[in-house]
Amino acid sequence: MRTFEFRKIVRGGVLSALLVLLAATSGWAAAATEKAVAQETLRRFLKCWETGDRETFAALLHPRLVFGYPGGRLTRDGLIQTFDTYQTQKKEIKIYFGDLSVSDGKHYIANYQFAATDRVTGKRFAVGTGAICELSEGKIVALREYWDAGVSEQQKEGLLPLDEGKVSPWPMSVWLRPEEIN
Amino acid sequence: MVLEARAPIDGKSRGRARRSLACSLKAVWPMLGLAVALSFGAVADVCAQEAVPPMKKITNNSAEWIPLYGEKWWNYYHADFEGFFPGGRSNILHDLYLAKVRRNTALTVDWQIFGRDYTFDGEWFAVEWFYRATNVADGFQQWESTLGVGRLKDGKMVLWTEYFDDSVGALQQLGLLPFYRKDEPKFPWPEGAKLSLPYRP
Repeated sequence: MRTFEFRKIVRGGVLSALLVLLAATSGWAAAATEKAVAQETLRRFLKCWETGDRETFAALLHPRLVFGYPGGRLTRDGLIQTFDTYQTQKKEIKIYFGDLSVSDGKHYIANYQFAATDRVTGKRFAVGTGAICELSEGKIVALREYWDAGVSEQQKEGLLPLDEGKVSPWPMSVWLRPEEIN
Repeated sequence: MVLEARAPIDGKSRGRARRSLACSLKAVWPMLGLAVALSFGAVADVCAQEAVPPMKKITNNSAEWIPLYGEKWWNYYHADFEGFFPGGRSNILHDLYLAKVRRNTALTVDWQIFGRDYTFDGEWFAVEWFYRATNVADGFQQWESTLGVGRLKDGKMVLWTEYFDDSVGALQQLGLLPFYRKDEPKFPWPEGAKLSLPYRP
């Protein structure tokens, strides 16, 4: 009888401790969950460029999406239209994810490299990209992609290496030169 | 357009920016061996004019670290620091080389960073900011938007990665892109742009 009561007390104590721990870590857990959801959503979205999965691509975009890139801004419809056109112009699209993953629960920041080959010229580029993303109702409502537009042009001209698969703003094998600091 | 060049937001002289680049190396003198010994004269010269303030607190919490050291973070690079920029990569030893060869050869002056929007995530942080600089050759002022990501280790900056479109300034100088409005949200290209380019041509 005493053993049974002792077990009950121990069990209750463990349960209480777990509840206290859960309460203390719930904020952290919520933030970690939001970060994981944002990361997964952005990765699924980006992978669509590789697979050509238009349905998933469109489903992940919020109706109020504002998408910014070096070259302009697009709405949800504009981005889907761009996706359709892009699939006809480029082949062997590949997304390589980097190590950066930063989130405060509202903004999610990641880096990746976007590589593709032009179907007409056969020239390939692989450009490092930093992105800041916001979700609403589980969909991407804001996405700003930053990259140096000159990289792909110089790669196509053979002036910069591809260094494909190594995620960095410029090709990873290039060391900063004084004439690039402006 | 590297961090060191952009960092001194209140800096109004090329000399100050050069100091920031060179002084970031002070913490790792013992590791640089012969290379540092050979370059000691050049770096000591510029560092003598600005002492590095001691750290008030050692923390890897970026939300604490940035208010303490964010204005002059180039003074607090970790010995294992690596930087990745449009233009190429760097580290402590490569920064030493750049500091030496860039003496009196800066392409731009009056670097300004403003409108910083931070995202803090433990030892990691990200920031979007506006950057302005003046061309030495013709006095033109470029105005760009940047996304940077940093990481702390042992209370110091160990990683900095910066993304921006280096063509924005050139297009502004050609009159093909406007400047940002000071209060507009940060985007890779300014809101008032009439020009548009296809996505990843």
